[in-house]
Amino acid sequence: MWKFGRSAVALVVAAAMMLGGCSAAQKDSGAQTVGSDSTEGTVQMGRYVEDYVEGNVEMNRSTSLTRLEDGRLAFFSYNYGPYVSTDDGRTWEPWQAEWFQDNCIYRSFRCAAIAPDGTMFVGYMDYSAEVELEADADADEGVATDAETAAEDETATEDETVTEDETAAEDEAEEEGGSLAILMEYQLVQPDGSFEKLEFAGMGGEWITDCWFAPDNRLYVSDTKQLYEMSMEGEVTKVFETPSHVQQLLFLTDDRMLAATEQGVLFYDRKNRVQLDRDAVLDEFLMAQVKQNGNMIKYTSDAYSVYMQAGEADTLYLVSGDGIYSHILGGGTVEKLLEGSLCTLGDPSKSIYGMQLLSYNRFLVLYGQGTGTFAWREDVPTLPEKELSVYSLERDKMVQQAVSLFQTEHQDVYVNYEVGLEENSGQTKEDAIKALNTEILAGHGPDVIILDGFPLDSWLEKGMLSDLSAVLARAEETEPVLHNIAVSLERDGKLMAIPMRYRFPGIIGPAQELADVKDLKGLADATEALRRKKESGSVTGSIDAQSTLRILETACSPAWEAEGGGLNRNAVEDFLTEAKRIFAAEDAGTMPEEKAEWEETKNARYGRMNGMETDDTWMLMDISSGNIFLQEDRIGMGYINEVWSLEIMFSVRRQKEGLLCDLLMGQSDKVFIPYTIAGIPVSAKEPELAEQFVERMLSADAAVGGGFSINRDAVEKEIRLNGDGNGGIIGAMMMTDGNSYQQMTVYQMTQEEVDWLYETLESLQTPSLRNEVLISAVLENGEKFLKDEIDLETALTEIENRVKLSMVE
Amino acid sequence: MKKKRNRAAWLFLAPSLGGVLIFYLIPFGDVVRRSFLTAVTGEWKGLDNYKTVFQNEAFLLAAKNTARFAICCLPLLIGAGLLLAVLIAGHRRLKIFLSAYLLPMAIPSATVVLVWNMLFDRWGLFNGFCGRIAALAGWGHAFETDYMETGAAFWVLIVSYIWKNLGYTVTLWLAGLLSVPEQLKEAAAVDGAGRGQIFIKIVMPQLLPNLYTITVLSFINSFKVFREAYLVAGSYPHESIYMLQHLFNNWFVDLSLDKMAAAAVVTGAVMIGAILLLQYLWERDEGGPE
Repeated sequence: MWKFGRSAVALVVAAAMMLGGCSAAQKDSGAQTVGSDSTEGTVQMGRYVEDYVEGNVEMNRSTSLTRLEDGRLAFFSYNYGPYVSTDDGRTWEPWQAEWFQDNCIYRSFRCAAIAPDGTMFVGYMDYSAEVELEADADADEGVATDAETAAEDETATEDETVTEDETAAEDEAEEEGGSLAILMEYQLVQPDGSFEKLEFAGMGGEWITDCWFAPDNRLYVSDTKQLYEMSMEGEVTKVFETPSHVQQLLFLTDDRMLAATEQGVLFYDRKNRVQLDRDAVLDEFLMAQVKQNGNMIKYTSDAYSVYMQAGEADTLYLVSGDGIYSHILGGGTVEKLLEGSLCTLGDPSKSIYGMQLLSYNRFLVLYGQGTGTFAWREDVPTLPEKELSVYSLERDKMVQQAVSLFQTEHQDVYVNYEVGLEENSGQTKEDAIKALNTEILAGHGPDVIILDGFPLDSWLEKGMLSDLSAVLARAEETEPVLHNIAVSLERDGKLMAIPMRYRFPGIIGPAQELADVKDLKGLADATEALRRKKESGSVTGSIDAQSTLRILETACSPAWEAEGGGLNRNAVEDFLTEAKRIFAAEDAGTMPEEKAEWEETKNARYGRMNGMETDDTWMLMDISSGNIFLQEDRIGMGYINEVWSLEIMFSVRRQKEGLLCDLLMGQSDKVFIPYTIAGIPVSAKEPELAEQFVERMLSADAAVGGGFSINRDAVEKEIRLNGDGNGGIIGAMMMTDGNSYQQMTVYQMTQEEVDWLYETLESLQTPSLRNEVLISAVLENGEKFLKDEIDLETALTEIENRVKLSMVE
Repeated sequence: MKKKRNRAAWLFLAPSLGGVLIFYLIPFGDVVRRSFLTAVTGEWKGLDNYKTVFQNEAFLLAAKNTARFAICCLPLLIGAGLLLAVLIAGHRRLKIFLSAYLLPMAIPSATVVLVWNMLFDRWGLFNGFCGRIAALAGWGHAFETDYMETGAAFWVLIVSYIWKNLGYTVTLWLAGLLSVPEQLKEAAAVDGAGRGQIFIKIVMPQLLPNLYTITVLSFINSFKVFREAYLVAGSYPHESIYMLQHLFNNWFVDLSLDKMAAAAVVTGAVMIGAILLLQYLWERDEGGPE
């Protein structure tokens, strides 16, 4: 009996050990929308579906989306004035146009509110009196308005406490009768178009940061610390104190008011004039959203990271890039009604400016370029049946936008965008790649992969990716794709990866010295010539050895690899030799205070700051060009990342004599740095959908974020964003070298400059695929060589030893 | 009776054997299979992958470094462990230090790496301390080496490995030492044997099974030093500490699975061969494990 028992015990133990802890991790199925828990064998039906309509008017920087008493919808655009819609937001027409035309010259609107009865309250800064604007005589009124707005925006983005600083500047300017006499004024505009300036007191000299009309047409305004009620005669009554300025004010049906601040939501009973208890669940949700979105509910562009709208009874609806949520006030949960990635909300290029409840289960969201109407559809599956997986190592806004566009157009497909390295995940890039490789080997790889950060050469050689030649050919039938960029990664007649964006290195400096510069040696000659002309002060703007090498590397690193693989020792030797000449010329005259300032801000330029890797923003041409504007006889080098960088660069050239702007020529011909490189693995489970997705990425409206688009129309759109391309004024920037300020006007590109841009883009031929091992070896040992810590031979030997392993593997 | 006992024994062994089969033997079999195929398309390549591996400079360097590491550190580790164990066994009060020797095993690799950087970086404590002495002695800048970027990295790795595994080795030696019957030693002493003779002729032969265990375990553990080297110096460290695991790691990132599989089979065969050889030598001397 006992012997039988022993066998039984052995079997039970064996079974327990075999089966215990052997479960594979279940893959997260994605968004948890309402009704998403599918029971086995059934498909859950019903979800919100968006009908997105491109706006027939410009909607960026809009506010106060309101339902008027006559049923029309209205909103106020800070740039173009108020608009109304009679078809629930599908189309819009100007409203109070005459008033706006009479009141927009030299004025920058800062706050606006529309009451249900059609009354408007607006606040604006008036630049008309003594502002120094270098207005072009032929500029039309619309451009002047944009100029003021853009100039004001520049100030606003530079300093979050712009309100208080400008108050001080205003007071000081008024006292001194100085040139920046900017006044904040307020108007009440009646539905019939008549208006009056509103003078008021009782806010302690503070400006109104925002304003709202309640459903009963009562006006509320806020400054940085208080919320007030203002009568139509300008009498101000304090309502309650706020921890920071109110970013959104919401009115519930029973006289309750919600004030959203960055510290949470405050509740107030308007009838009994008492503050109410807070809603901890709502606060927690809002804080999480705010933290995720740069600690702001409302951005300086006036778009919202999360917008609230009151619904029926105690229901609150919230909309953000993550989706649409609902919350019963006082309840224990915030329920997700719709996943953002299934609609336009997930598109990072679409900013949220407002939301309106149209009817039960119908919402309107106001974006910068259009409107989205969300309606509940019972006949649509909660989660689409087909799934397309897209993978990138780091979150890419362009991919997000393409996901959103594709999702909106393919309601039967769920696009699962997976990011390998989420913020604060603690994983290294290698860990993420290894995890992905494991998935691919197990047959669960993505359908589309963004190859930035991957060993691209290895993938291309091993035939891991499908041929995209047909995809490109189809896209080129309807889209003006820059062919030279698209095929830059072709190998052996196969096109397995297409870069969707790119940037290129540029240079600006004295034409006399730079006109004959065709390569790195020429650049070194020019730098030495400039140093002979300018005994002290920086000549390249790259004050230390590492930054000198990093800037020059952008136009040289592709030459460091030999044709068949391996290190091109001669090229690296030439690079170090010429870089040393350039650095020596720079170092010979740089003043100690310049070096000290550079050292102080060193960590912001490269390396780690606050535990996060900084990006290459210090290498942008915008910054280099600005330095050229402030100082004579200097070269500026950097990345030209977008049209704005060129506008700055050409604007500097226009205002300073004798400057030349061109592509930075180093050891490689016409280098560009490609990114958002898309490929389709051969193991993709949905190859057709993947091809459609890649094709969508090649379209003009998928272009967003930094970098030039591979689609020429998208580049054109960016050029025309600021005007008609006639070289007129866009705005002004205040530049400082630490001692004094200079105002620099920013101009649109002229047609000649636009032609130069297209010529340059079409001529780019050498993709710089950033062999990180090689580049870091050259930078590290190059720095020691430039500082005379080691000789050239030692530097080259160390570089060879370091890269030898990676090249022979 | 014997049959029934064997059946029960097999049943008890079944879970472990099943685990080894599912999580080790079958996957290794798959690796052997992949070593004859291409990485992505799975086409038959025969022995081409093996030829590629044996002609690959990186593999030859990594194999050389790994073998060099094992040959250098094993005798040091085993010898130092035995010495300490003898000292501790002979002086009971020293037993409290045994825990101290085991602590390094509990310290996470990331922490160890931090200590390395503090000590052995170009501007680390080691250079700082020695540099001051050198300056006093008038030797100038004799201590400004970044040890992890030179051939000295190999010895830093050895020191780190020995420091981390010494406690474990001492514990195993100590277990063996304490199990040697006192009567044998007393009998030898009565017969006029000195302490050295007792140790060599009486104690050491009793320790041979422990020596076998320690050698095999230390040999296998020597392959785990990759973690610290990787955390300090990344995927491409100084060539003196470029080990087989670095190569496998990089090949996996590159999806060079064909080469990786072939190299893994070769490495596995060498390790198994070495262990079997040890076992044969032990059994031949009739002092090996039962």
